[in-house]
Amino acid sequence: MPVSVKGGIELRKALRAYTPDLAKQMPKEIATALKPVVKVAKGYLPDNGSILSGWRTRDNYTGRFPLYDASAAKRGISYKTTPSKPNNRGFRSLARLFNKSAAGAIYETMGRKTPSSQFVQNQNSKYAGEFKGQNKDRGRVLFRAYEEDRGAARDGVLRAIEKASKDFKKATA
Amino acid sequence: MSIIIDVAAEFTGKKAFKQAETATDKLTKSAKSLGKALGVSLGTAAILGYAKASVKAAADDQKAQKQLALALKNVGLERDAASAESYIQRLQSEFGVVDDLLRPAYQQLAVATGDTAKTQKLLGLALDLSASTGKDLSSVTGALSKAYLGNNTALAKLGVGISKADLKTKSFEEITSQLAKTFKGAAAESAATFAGSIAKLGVAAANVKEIIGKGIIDALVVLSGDKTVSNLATDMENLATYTADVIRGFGLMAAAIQKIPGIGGLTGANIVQAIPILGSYITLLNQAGAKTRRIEEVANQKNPIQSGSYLNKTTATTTKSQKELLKVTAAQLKLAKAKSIFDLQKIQIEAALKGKISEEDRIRLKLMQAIQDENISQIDTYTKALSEVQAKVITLQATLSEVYSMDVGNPFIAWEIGLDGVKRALIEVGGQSIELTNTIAQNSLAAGLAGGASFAQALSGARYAAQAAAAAGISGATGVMPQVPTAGSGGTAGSTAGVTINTTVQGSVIAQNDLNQAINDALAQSGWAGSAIGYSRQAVITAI
Repeated sequence: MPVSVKGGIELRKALRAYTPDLAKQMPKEIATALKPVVKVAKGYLPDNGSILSGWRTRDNYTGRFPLYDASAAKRGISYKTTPSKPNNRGFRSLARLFNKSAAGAIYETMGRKTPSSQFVQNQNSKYAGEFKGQNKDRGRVLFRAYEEDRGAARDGVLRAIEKASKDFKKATA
Repeated sequence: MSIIIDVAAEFTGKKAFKQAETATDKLTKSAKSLGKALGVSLGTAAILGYAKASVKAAADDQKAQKQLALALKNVGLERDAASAESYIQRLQSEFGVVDDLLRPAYQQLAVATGDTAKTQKLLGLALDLSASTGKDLSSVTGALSKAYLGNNTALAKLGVGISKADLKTKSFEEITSQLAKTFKGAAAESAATFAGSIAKLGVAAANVKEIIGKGIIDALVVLSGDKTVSNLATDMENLATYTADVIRGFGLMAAAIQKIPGIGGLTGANIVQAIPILGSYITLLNQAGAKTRRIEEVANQKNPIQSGSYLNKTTATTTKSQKELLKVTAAQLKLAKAKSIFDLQKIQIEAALKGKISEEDRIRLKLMQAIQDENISQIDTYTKALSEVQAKVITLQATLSEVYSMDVGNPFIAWEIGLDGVKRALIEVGGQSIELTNTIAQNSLAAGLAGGASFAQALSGARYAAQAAAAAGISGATGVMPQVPTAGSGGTAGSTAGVTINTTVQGSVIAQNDLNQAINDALAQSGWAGSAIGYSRQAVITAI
């Protein structure tokens, strides 16, 4: 569950309008807090040799099921510090981690609902990372890394926002 | 599919909440939290930005007002410009729709209808339709104005439940009545919701911005000595910077004052007034600024009740207004004079003066004429004359009452006595003269007449009086009372006294005629026997 923050977006607007230097500083500090998780998460992705041969990426593939490419999957794990659009519950994310490659997301979550499926069993027999997290926030890569981070990234983000707020008040007082 | 972990998030709400946030943000930026924001986080750039926005808002508002006034003037509704503005302001506060939207809508409808009442009615309907259908006010207003001019296509596209058949067959009044019935109260209901409340706050924020912008323009115009705002950008920026610093200083001072024990509850203007020495200067400045604003409002006829109290005769604006007022007054006098030619009341007064009337009536009519003409000098003259005449009338009435109160007796009493004598001597009865020689009968007759009895009753009484006197042996009866013939069947006045005839009817009497015949026979026999008996009802009754 994300931490709910009040006034973060307004703070970003105010920073950009009145203290451009601080506006650049805050995302950097947030990124510093998130980068370790990303790095660890990328390490949890299997290489191409640990993947089922049929799922591995290959040329002249015309199917719709996404094939796994370790380098593409690693590129897909990243972070963002810009506010997102509101989700269906009205929340806007101020800092987030994501695993946006399709194959990487499949590896992350496969077996959460159907642990006995053939595909999952085959992959598990070859190579399977450990599931960590709870309920929908349970996964093998990003969720696992975030879980193992024990809130350090979250605290770093909040600290960065608070620091920016204090610096802004000092600069405009 | 992608995996996302939100590390930190902010609740901003859905669409409605977003509108609320936008409106609240505006309000926070512009009004309520201005001081707080100044004291906490906003810098010179924010003040400058707000000042610019306020000046722009005020200028736009003024421009929109003038455009509306010009449009109304062009369609012959110039005199309704002030009422149109007040109507727009009322709608703005009531329904939370900004005047920037209402003015173009009003203008469009006014141009189409050329009538203030219809314009305001249609604008109210447009607000209801807009609130109910969700379409913007300008679209609804455009559709209504087109429909008023005979083009119902746009109205059909609004989707307000009017069928094509209705649009073809019904008149515009019927259609609008139906729409007003269908969507009645939609705008008011919408304004009563949370979103409506936020809209009202948004309107208030916009108004705050306009008011502050107007103040800035006025202040800068005064400072620069220029009557335009075109060259004020530099002055404005300098002043905004200076103002921002001053306000920031005020924020710090206000915070310090609130910490003083005993006056912590002070808020708003009271904090400023509590500042020693400086507070009184600021209050004076505030009063001077407020007075300047009110002078302008009065000059613009926004507050006519207060006219006079704030008018400064030295200002060119006021002088101009007075000149315009004089022009209007002169025009009204001319109009009144022209109307007097056809004034029926005046014509009637003129006609009455030509007739035969008393002096008092003549003065009254002249006075009425003077009042009609509003001729003060003549009103005074005739009022005095009327008072004099009325005084004379009162004197005359007093004199007459004195005369009536004098006891001069009846000057014709001798005539009455002579007439009594004549009455005693001659009595006209049925065209015959009867001479009463008996004194008792004469006196009785006179007394009866004097007592209000009819002549026949009095004469009967006189006869009985004479007979009674004769029976009692009283002298004075020098002759015999003649029998006065009675007309018709009246009573016993003609009957003779003291003769009684008893007769026995032989046989049977069955009908009334038998009885009459028997009595007649008896009377005839009595006559033959030498008894002179008159035929009268008394006799018949006695026989019965």
